[in-house]
Amino acid sequence: MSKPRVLVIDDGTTYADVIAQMPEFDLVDPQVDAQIPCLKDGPDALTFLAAHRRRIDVVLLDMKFDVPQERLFSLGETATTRQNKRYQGVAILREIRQRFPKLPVVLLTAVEDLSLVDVADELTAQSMTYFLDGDDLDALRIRINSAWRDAQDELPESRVLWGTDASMRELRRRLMVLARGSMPVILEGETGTGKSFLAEQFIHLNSGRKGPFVVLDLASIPTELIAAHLFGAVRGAYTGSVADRRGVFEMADKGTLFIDEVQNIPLEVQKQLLLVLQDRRVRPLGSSKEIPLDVKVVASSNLPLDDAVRTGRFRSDLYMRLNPATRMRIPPLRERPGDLPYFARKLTELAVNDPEVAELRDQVLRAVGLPLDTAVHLVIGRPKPKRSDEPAALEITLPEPAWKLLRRHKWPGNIRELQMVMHNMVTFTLVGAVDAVQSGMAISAARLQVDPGLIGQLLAGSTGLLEQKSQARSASENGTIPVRIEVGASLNAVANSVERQYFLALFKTADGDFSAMAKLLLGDERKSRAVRLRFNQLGLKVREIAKQ
Amino acid sequence: MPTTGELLDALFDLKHDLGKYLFLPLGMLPREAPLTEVIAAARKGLLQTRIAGDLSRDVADLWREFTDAWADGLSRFDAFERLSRAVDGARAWQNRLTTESPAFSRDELESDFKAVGQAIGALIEEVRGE
Repeated sequence: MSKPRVLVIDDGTTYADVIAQMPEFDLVDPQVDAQIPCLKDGPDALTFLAAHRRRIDVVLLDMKFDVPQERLFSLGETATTRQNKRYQGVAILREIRQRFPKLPVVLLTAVEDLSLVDVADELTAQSMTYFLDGDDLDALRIRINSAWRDAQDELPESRVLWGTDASMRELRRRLMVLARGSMPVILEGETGTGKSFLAEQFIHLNSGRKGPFVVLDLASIPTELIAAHLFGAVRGAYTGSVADRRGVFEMADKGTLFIDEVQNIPLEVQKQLLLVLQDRRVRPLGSSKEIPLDVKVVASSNLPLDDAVRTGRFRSDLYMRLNPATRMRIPPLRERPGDLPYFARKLTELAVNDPEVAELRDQVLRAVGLPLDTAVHLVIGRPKPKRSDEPAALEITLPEPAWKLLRRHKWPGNIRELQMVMHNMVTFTLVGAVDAVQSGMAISAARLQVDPGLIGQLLAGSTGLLEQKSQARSASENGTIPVRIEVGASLNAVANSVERQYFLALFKTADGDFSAMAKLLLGDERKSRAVRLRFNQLGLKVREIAKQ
Repeated sequence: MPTTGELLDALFDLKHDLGKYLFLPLGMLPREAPLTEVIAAARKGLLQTRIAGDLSRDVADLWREFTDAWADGLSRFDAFERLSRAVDGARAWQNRLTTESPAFSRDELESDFKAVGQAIGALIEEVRGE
């Protein structure tokens, strides 16, 4: 069995020594310096990679490099030497990404340690860039392995935007396996998480099936017609049936059938569906003829199906036949906030290339004197100084206040909602630029700034929806939380414990929004830092709670 | 008086050089490692804490350099006292860690070493929240 070949770029030797002693990895010894089995600065690393890229599966890259100034890559014109040293890993990574975009790189730092510089968003948006969440052997082992496996699974042709969150990487790995064969797959996820897109663009495309992808959206079909749509019917089989109807099972033969909102199937039809899945044959309503089938079924639900089983709305035998072992949950966007920059950038790119928007984009490119094939990027926060060797691009810049609005939003409509917001943001921003040009204003810089007020307006609709949901949730929880108290503990310990439990419950209710907690606890949402400080003092860790 | 930004700059350096590298050799040791390896890793963390190029500094050096430069600016923060205690706690292991050491708990040792990084993190949060 092959092992990942690991190259260490570090000004010290601790990590190289550790990798050398781990039998499951091969340490790539660059032999640049006889004393140390790693590369000790950026220029050495780039030279080595240029010559030996094929020998390397994963790079471990330290963040801080105490090396002479002339051996440092610069983070930008305004960066001090101290900053260049402390975040040298970022500067080296930028160079690596320019030349080796698919090379897996594990940065030897936790993402929260990057919070002083405006690079965390940039890095978390990159595919094949990973952070080390922990300082023990297992954390290192797991991170290297997942980086290596992701590189092997990389599917350049996929249209699915997976993001960088570990839960989505795991989902992709499992779906890649489940796509093969005829076992049904259950996809669960809130509205807008992309279940049908995933079913078509990933499961079906990777199933190896030559037949069609067929969708049946049960939310849009009258209950009394669901059986006919599923199984087909001969003329006269039911009132109003004036011609033979082919069912979706028959249409999807040798292909994939996606049953959307499967929880909506009436109980009496569930039994029939169970028989079809068991026997791999379908008999249209009113027909005596059975049709053999070879169909892969992907069923989706926006509610947990086991809940529907518990409440008697879904047959347990059908649930078991749909194969709950393959039940995959697509996490909502708010559970993977680290993915937001990635999606914002990707969806901006998709929006500017949308045929409906392309004409506006081209008008702006012409106005600023750029060729029509110039790339258009989203820049989050303050734009960075351009390097002389960077290709020209039109930048749509999202200032920090606007980005903050997007970050704080809870995205009840998930990726679909984000896609609409980014599409509208791009359209309105381009329209604004075109209007300016048409009214005689000159645009010289290839940079368009998004109006934060626009973002607020675009989010207003779903924010109202979210508030309704939140009110409903508060009401259902009756405004109380259960608290555990250890009998025999000191008064001080009890007070701390109760406070800790209260903070934890509030944190979960507020979906991690410290401003909302500050408003509740201190009556002022601007005091979120004080709340966060107390949160930390109570020994609560955002990352650990998120993992739960 | 140093600015908040300068204090945070210094604390982030300390978190990397001291908080991370004090614990790293122990953290990277398998759980089943024999006592002699645990002692060697812990001593490396204490005595060869930050090696960059030809320069090696121990916990004492790093802490002295840091307090010489920043103690005045940080002494008003509660977490600074906690950090001082944590560094003392880690350094106290230096005399306990010999090959003739009586049995000791690796968990206790790791907890004391980790406490330094945690205390630096708490101080960063307090400075940020000011």
